[in-house]
Amino acid sequence: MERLSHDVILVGGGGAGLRAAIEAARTRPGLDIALLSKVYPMRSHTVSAEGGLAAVTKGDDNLDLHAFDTIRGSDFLADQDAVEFFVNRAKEEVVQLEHWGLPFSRDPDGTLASRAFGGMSVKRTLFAADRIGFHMLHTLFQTSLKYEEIHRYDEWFVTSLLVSAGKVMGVVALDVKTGEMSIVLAKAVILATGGAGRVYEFTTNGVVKTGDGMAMAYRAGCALKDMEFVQFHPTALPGTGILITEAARGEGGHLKNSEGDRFLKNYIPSKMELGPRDILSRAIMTEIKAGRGIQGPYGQYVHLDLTHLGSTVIERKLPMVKELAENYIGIDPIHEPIPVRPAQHYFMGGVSTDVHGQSPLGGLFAAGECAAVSINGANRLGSNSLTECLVFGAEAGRAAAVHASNAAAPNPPEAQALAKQEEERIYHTFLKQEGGPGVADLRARLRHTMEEYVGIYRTEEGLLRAKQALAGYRGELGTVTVEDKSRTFNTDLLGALELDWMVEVADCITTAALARRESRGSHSRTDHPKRDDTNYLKHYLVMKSNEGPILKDQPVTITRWPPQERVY
Amino acid sequence: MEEKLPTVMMRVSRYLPGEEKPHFQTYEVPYRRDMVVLDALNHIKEKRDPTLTFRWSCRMGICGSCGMNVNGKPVLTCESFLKDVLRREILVEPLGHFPVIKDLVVDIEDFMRKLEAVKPYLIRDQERPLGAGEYRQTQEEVDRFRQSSLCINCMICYAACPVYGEDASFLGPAAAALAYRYNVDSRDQGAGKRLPAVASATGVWECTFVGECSTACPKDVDPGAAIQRLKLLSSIEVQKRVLLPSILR
Amino acid sequence: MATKTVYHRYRPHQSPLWFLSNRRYFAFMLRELAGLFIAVYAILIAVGLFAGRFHPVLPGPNGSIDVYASMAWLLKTRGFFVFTLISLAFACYHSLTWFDLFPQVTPIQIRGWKVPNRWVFGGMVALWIGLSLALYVVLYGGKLL
Repeated sequence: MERLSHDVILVGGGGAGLRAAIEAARTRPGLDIALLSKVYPMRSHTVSAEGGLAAVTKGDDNLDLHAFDTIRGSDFLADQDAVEFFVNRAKEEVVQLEHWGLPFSRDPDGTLASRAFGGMSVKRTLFAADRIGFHMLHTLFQTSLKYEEIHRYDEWFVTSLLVSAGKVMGVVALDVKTGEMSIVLAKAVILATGGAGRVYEFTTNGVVKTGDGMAMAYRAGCALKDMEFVQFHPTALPGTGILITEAARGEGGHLKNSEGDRFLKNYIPSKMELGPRDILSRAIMTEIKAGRGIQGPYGQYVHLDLTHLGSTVIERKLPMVKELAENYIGIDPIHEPIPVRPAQHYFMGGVSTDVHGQSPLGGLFAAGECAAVSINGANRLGSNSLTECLVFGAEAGRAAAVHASNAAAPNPPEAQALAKQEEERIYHTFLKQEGGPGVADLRARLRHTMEEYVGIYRTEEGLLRAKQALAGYRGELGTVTVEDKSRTFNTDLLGALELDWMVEVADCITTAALARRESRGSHSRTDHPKRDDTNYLKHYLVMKSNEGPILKDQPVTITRWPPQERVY
Repeated sequence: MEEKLPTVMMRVSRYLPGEEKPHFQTYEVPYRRDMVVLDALNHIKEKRDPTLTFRWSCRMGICGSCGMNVNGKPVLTCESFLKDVLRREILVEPLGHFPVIKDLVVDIEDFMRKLEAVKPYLIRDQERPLGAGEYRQTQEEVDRFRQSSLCINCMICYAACPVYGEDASFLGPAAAALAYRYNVDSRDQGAGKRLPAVASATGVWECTFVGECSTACPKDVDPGAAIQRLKLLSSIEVQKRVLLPSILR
Repeated sequence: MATKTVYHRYRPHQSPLWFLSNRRYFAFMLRELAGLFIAVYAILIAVGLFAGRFHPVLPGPNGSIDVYASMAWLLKTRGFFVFTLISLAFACYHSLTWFDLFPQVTPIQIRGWKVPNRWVFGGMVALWIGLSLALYVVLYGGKLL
């Protein structure tokens, strides 16, 4: 098996991964950086983000306000030292992105324009029409081409972390085009693999979001944090789950029920459509349950009405929303309201890291959606996550570069044996299994279980059912049958490997959700509807054990904002 | 009492490396008015034939993964509705003009190299310090390059271009549009550095303005116009170099 | 660095009849073909003008050839008349498609306002007709046919 060696490895080539790679190259020029991504970097899911990225740039704003908005949005579960670090670095990252060429929308004086966003008390979301993620990913990818230090391995699927003496020494990866596996050694590995939205049936996420890095870290003995907190975005198109950006509400859009009523006045009158996502998603589901939803071919929905905004605003600031509504629903939002309903969107939880992206496992860093520092706590505010990718991507890149320049090149004698084991697992176990369920079939059942029992509203009974079903799926993975036996570009096999990780991640989410017997942020227990700071002002760390996932507590870091009732 | 849903026939290109050439396989797929070609392919993979291989991710026309030739035309299969391509047998082939790795997956390394060759990043003589804030740019200045910045790298324009079909050394529409996007960005000063890739014989000058790239582009980037403008701009640039001594430039 | 394995690809080849697969491709090839006819016509006219000014004489199999006389005879043949009509049709086609493409490629802006493509097209057609008429007046002094 081929054996490659680099100083730093990035797993994942999205916003956080590319930013980290660039920063590692800048921190230590001449460093040897490998970027392994299972898709070409331009396909990473960062590309679909629409609304904008938040930072304090204007005179009417201040860092403490951004920090407080974020902490209150998190339902006081965010680690406040991390939030302070985050809001401090945000502006610098945004300006750097602009210097790298991102085509931000501008105010008449030529400075960056800003828009309102959910849960933000001031307009601080900088934007590029409604395609910020697309522009950010392409700007970062194109800028990364400047750095000779970065060697890309496009369509290389990392299958596991190489752990030796309690430290991460590299990865085992599969070249998708040939099916050949290689050992890639490194002094530092940064996971930037994104979230795991695909464990849910109805999600805004693309097919790549299968929780790879989270599962690999978990299996390597690293803790995952805040896994029970899954964000559901209030406005996605029914059927496809395609995201309709919060910016549509930021520009003045209204949510209406079947009676044409702006129902949010009964839930969050002070913020209305610009309330935080968890509150809005629950409000919409409550309206639908109460019979005030509109029936469609894919279930019930509510209306997002942009008709009063006028064609100039929509064509200038929300062109992609118009395009999506026209293409996929056949509606022109200038004249008709858009049908929307909540869909899974983001993972607040992930690989537990400190502000420098360092995980508890030596040599392993993480950044972006796959990590939990945590700045988002129990609920993330819209437009914070792209900034999060930049701030913590950069910091993890920097820290990993420093770590790598001080570390000895790993050469663990077990590398060959561990890699051989991986090859066995994949080509002689997974690929050889017969007579079991197909990958697509098992995956559909997993997604349905999660959607049904671990969604917006959870109960003890539902979560226990999910736990049981997951145990069954784990068993079925032992016989899941990959029909495509070829070595070249075997997406059936990759689907099975991803499914293996999805079941792992789903189990972590469900275990943590069961243990948290309160409602906080996006985690709603109908059997425990109140927030309980006495018992639950803490993070749950999920770790692997022989009995399955076990939980440990980690206190929330409180600096200047003592937890209070979350009111808007 | 199960109602039999109307179905469509999909004729899909299959290929494994080492085979002499691709062959076709036909599948029957249940039809719904709002189905896209990608939905049909996923149905085949999930319910009929898990060996069928193709790329996709976002399913909302922004990641650029799912470009394929449907009924002979290069399109994004996630945006291509079955009702718009209905035929006795809907033909799905890999994206034209690229080497085929397997089934509907093509090798895009040539394009990746060209992307890199046009130096697609802001080039400045002097960087502005971060502390001084953003470069000032008016919305009009952004609009000058906005359209050509919308390229999702789906390479449909390469599949549409008969010049690229004839000669794979041609720089191609998307790479040229990207060079144009940076040349025309008011913050950029690197047009001269992009000249070798842009103004060479295999650069924009190989384009004979067939115009199909702009017609086929799913994101309205208009790479055809970008190439013709680059011809003009790079001609001026080259003339300047020949006529003016470097002091005056 | 990773050594890349050599693996097989199927390399498709473009059919030499690619332009028949699509209306726009066909229209493009017609435009290119038009250039050929226009070029031949232009060369013939240039030869005729040169011959009319300098009256060259070429050695031939049965004595010398008066080039100008030969040209004058050619221009009066039915075949050449047909060739002229075809060339005129191609020239019009080429010019009109060119006028259509021109504003798409080179946007005309007057102080920030973009002149609509239709106006540019119309303006170029008007200029074309105007110049043709002016040329006709110069050549024939306004006398009709």
